[in-house]
Order: sequence, then structure tokens, then C-alpha cells
Amino acid sequence: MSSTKILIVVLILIALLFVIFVVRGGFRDDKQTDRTNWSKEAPWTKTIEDVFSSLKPKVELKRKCYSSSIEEDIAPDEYLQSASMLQRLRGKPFRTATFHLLRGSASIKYEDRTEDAIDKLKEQEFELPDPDRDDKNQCSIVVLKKGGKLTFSCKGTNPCKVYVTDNPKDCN
Amino acid sequence: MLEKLRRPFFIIALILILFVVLIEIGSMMWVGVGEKTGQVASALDVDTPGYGIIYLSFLDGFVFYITLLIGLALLIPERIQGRIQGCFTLIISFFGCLGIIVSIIIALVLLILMVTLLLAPIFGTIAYFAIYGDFDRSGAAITLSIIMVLKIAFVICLVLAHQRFLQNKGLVLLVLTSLVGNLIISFLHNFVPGPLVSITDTIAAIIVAILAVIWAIILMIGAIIAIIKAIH
Repeated sequence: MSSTKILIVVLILIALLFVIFVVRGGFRDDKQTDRTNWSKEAPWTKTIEDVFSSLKPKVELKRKCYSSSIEEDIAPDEYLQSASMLQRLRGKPFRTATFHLLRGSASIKYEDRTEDAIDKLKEQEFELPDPDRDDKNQCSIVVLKKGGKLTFSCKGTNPCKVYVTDNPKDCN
Repeated sequence: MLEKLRRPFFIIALILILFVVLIEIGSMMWVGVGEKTGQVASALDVDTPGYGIIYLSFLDGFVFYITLLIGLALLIPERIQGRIQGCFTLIISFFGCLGIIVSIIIALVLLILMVTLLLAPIFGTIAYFAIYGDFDRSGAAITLSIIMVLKIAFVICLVLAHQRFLQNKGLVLLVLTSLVGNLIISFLHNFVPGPLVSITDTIAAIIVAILAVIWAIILMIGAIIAIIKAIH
């Protein structure tokens, strides 16, 4: 077969594959994707979470363990507040903290100070355990660039204990 | 070879690949997340996805450069071109390589941010869907289709300009890599649920950028060999 014929065959194959991909995407109905229960939908996420856990931007919390009612101020991201462009590049617009319930039941509330934040992220409130979720003993908060206030309290009269998952060994 | 070159077809090919590069660079303006989510992202100082197509310009930039070098042979005497080509290629491939590596790091940071948000329920997932959940897949598909058509037209024009371009293995492999890059982005955009496209687009960008780094290194080695030969 001549090189021209090979080229024609290769071009047709590439074009055909491309059309298949585009048509496949065109017929996909994204509205049916359940956006509220993502973790239940994809169990493989645990493996990816483990891979990325050491790389994720974390919130610097004063405590690793929470067992009594407390209010904690979370500072803004120092780099994003800087006037220097290079410093701002090092900034983390999102920082996460994951809380895991060890015993009892707890209530965690985080109020973010960032003015332009999405309404749902301005006031983040949840209780542990949360029976509606797969991992009912675990939940994360997202801290935006200007930081905010974290309020922790145990529910009822029974003692409770919650640790921040990135440092479970420090929780005695 | 240049005596038999059909210049009109070659010039059309050169213009087509230039258009491809310009469309890819400009795609950042219309491909990405929706307008509403884009406003939220800029208010929060967050990078938005849509890197896949723009990173394709690294590969197609090299295709344009190689084609331009062939075209310059029409204007500049071969003796002078032989001397400057190696130096120019070395400079372009070296700085290109550095730029692409920086771009890979930028895409990697965005990828880590998106994945960690998505996998931090409840509020991380809410943030992910609010900012990255609505990737403009149809806009990207239209842009990729235009690029694909232009690239195929470029290949046809190049072959019509001179069939011996097919014997230039380096050029053929580079153009094939560019076409495969298009396929990779298209596949990663269209074979995952809509909310995940922002993540797969960034993965596609990283893959395409890695391919471009490999080509930058190949060009750099070729340029160094050419310079050594010219000195001797």
C-alpha cells in the first residue's frame, strides 16, 4: 500500500473516532446525574481520595481533637491577601478540613467571611452522625480565602469526640 | 524537493495550521465553565478549567514552526537557513519546554484542587459543583470539531503541495501526535458524566502537555546535533 493510501486510511479512522466521541457526548444526558449524593454514586472515590489526601490544601486548625463546645477563628489565606502577584499565586482559594466522629454526637458550624462566596458555603452546618450519608461519621468543611469562624458543640448531655482526619494519631 | 513544491497549497496549509493555533489560544475566551459559575470563580480568585484545547496549541505550535521552517527555505538561501535553523530551534524548544513544564504544574494544581473538593462531601462537593460542575461541553466540541477539520485540511494541503512530505517521518509523527491529542481531549470530554468534565479536561491538558514536552525535547536534541554539525 502506498504512503498516500495509508495516510487516507489513518485520517478517515481519526475523523471517524472523533465523530463517535462527539456524538457520544452530544447524546449524554447530564441532567440525570445525581449531584447531591456523589459519594454513593462512585465508590472508587475512596482510592482517589487516599492518593490526593497528602496534596490537598488543608485548613490549619488549632486543635486536632474536639470534645467540648468551642469557637475557633480560622485565619484568611495569607498569600491571597498579599499585594504581590507571586505571593498570590501560592494562595489557596479553598482549604478543607474533614471531621470524623469518634463517639457521641456533635454539631459543627462554620461561617465564612468571604463576601462573594456561594450562599451554601457562607454558612456550613452539619451534625455527626449524619444518617443520610454513606459515611455518616465524617463530613468536610470548605474554608474560602478570607477564613471564618468554626463553632463546635456536643449534642445533648453525653460527651462526644471528633478528630480532624489529617491528624488522627494526635487525638488522645 | 522545493522546485516541485506547489506553493499555493503549501501557503494554504501554513495559514490553516496558523488558524488552528490561533483558535486554540483564543479558546480560553469561550470554552470553560458557564458564565454564572465563571463569575463565582473569579470572585473567589479561583482558576477555571478549559485548559485541554489551549494546551493543544503547544503541539500545534511545533507543527506550525516546522512547517514554517520548510516554508522559509522558499525565501532564504539554504546555506543561511542551515546555520540559523539549529539555533532558533534550540531556543524555541528550550523555552517551549520550560513553559510547558510550568503549564503542567498549573494544570496539576487545578486538578488537585478540583479532585479534593469533589471528594470532600458535603460542602467541598457543593463548591465543586457550583464552580466546576458546568463545563461547556458543547462549546468545546464545536471548537474541537473546527480544529479537527482545519487539521485534516492542513494535512491534505500539505500532501497536495508535495507528496514527499509523507517521507518526512518527523513531520508525519508530529502531525499524528497533534491529531491524537485532539482525539484524547475529545474522548475525555465526552465519555464521562458532565460534572466530571472539568477534571477530565485538565487531565487531557496534562497528557497533551506531556506529549508536547516529549516533542520539545526531541526538537532540542535535533537542534543540538544540527548546531554541532554546523560547527564542524
